[in-house]
Amino acid sequence: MSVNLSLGGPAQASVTEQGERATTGQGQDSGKPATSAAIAIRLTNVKRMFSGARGKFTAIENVSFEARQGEFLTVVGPSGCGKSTLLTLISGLSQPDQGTVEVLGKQVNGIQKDVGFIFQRDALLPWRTALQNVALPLRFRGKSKHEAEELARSWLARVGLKRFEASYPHQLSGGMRKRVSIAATLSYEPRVLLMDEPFSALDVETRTLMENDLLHLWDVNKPTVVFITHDLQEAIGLADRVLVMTASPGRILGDYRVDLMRPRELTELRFDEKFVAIQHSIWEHLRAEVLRAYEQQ
Amino acid sequence: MPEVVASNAERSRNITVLAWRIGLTVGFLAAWQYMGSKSDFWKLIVSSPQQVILKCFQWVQDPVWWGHVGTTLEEAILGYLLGVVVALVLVAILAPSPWISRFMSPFLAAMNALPKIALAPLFIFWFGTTLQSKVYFVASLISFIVLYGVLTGIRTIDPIMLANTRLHGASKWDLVLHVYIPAIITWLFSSLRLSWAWALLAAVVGEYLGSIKGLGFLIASAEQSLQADIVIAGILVVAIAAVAFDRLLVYVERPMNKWRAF
Ligand SMILES: Nc1ncnc2c1ncn2[C@@H]1O[C@H](COP(=O)(O)OP(=O)(O)O)[C@@H](O)[C@H]1O
Ligand SMILES: [Mg+2]
Repeated sequence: MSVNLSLGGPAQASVTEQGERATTGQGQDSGKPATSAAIAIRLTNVKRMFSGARGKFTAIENVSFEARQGEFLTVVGPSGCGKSTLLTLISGLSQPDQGTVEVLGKQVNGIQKDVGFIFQRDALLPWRTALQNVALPLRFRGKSKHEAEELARSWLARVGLKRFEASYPHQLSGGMRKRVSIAATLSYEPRVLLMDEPFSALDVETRTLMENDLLHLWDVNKPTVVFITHDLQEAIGLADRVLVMTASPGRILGDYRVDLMRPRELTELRFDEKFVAIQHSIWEHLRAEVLRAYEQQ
Repeated sequence: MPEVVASNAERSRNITVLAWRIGLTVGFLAAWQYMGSKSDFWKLIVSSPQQVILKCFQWVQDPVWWGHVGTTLEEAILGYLLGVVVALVLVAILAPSPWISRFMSPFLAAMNALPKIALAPLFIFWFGTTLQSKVYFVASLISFIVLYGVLTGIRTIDPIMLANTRLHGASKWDLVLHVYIPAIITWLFSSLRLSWAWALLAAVVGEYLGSIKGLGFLIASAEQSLQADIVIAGILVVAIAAVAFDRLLVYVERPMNKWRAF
């Protein structure tokens, strides 16, 4: 698979300041400092319940945080802690039982045009080619067929799939299908991008390459990103800020700033001293929760 | 090279299968011919391939016989079309409203389980020995098969795919066009193929029970006059019509399946 976007070369990451800090509970203060960038996402005391076989079940509760415009936020937490639930609430696919969710200054009460969502599982239309899959969101947004296909072509080229325009999803590898999904979502330039463990099904090498590519693509329009993962290294490597969630019912346990310089070269970053330090300090908090989640099973 | 070996092995297996098929058919026809020529009694009840073929040749030149075939095909085709249209209208009503679908689902399951072919006498009773009685009977059967097939298809649509398409900005109509219709095409065609066989069967059964025209009528009267060759030749004609239309549907569907892995 061609990766035409990675810069190659030596690691460019360096650390300006050791800025990680934990705020227990709400993590409210992290978005507040003098930086006056507008708030893109704001959750206030959000609770989401499901009614299951044995009555009501609380998936997440007391979740509050903010993300500034252009910020790259990653969320880590043990499996089943409500990470996907969090994203469906921000996307408008579902509504909270308590609290409020605001995106780009408006309270969310349905699907929003300015929000993109990359699912963990494959969600491409199997009866459409890669090109058609990327062109469709543009068509839905009123672009002409010609215009949509031209744009779709350029986006497929940007994710390194120029040769696969006419391929159907089943003819592509898992990593390629993910690239098509990303191209389809980025092509309409959403201001908020939600990603639910997008690379978790990929092998390690492909994953690192795709993380690198994602950072470069993000750098172009700088959408606000909420990226879910259960891989701490991935979370730190990508993020401006890492949110750590507790085991079920999910709450925000910690909120860590990652002050590693951009652009970053992820293949090198993992050996960086500061990176390792941040990882250690977050892992201290996460470990207890992972064990707790494990015991719950 | 292993691939060549494999394809050689496959070819010789195909030839073996073909040889067996031809052998079985010839053996069956020979045994049948032998049975039919053993005595007058056997000749009466099983006829013989020779006689059936002769009968078919006679019929092909007989306009009256073509009239019977025409009647049966007319009933089957009209009933089929009516049934498919009714089914698609019901799908358009049921599919968009999960509440009605859930409310209706036990009724649909019960009606699907009913041995509907046994309803034929009722239709004759209601509409007489007319063309309509057969058309309605055929339609009632077909609409259920198609409705059931298509609703099953809709239930199997991946909710993540739907959510993803909505998030990409699809309107309700876009969803119908780009998700629902492509997703149910396979189910639609398999129920269309299944129901065509039922349409012919239902038309013939309807005629058999009460009519003055059609292949079913021919078969019923031949049965009374103990003419096995007519009965068998009639069945043969129904089978040919069934297979011909089925092939046509397969042919129409094929280009729509390009996107499939298997
Ligand atoms: N639609 C649903 N109905 C009932 N329970 C659900 C539903 N979606 C999620 N859950 C439950 O909520 C909890 C959190 O799920 P999820 O957000 O998918 O966790 P994560 O993404 O962190 O693994 C899980 O226990 C899951 O079983
Ligand atoms: Mg999840």
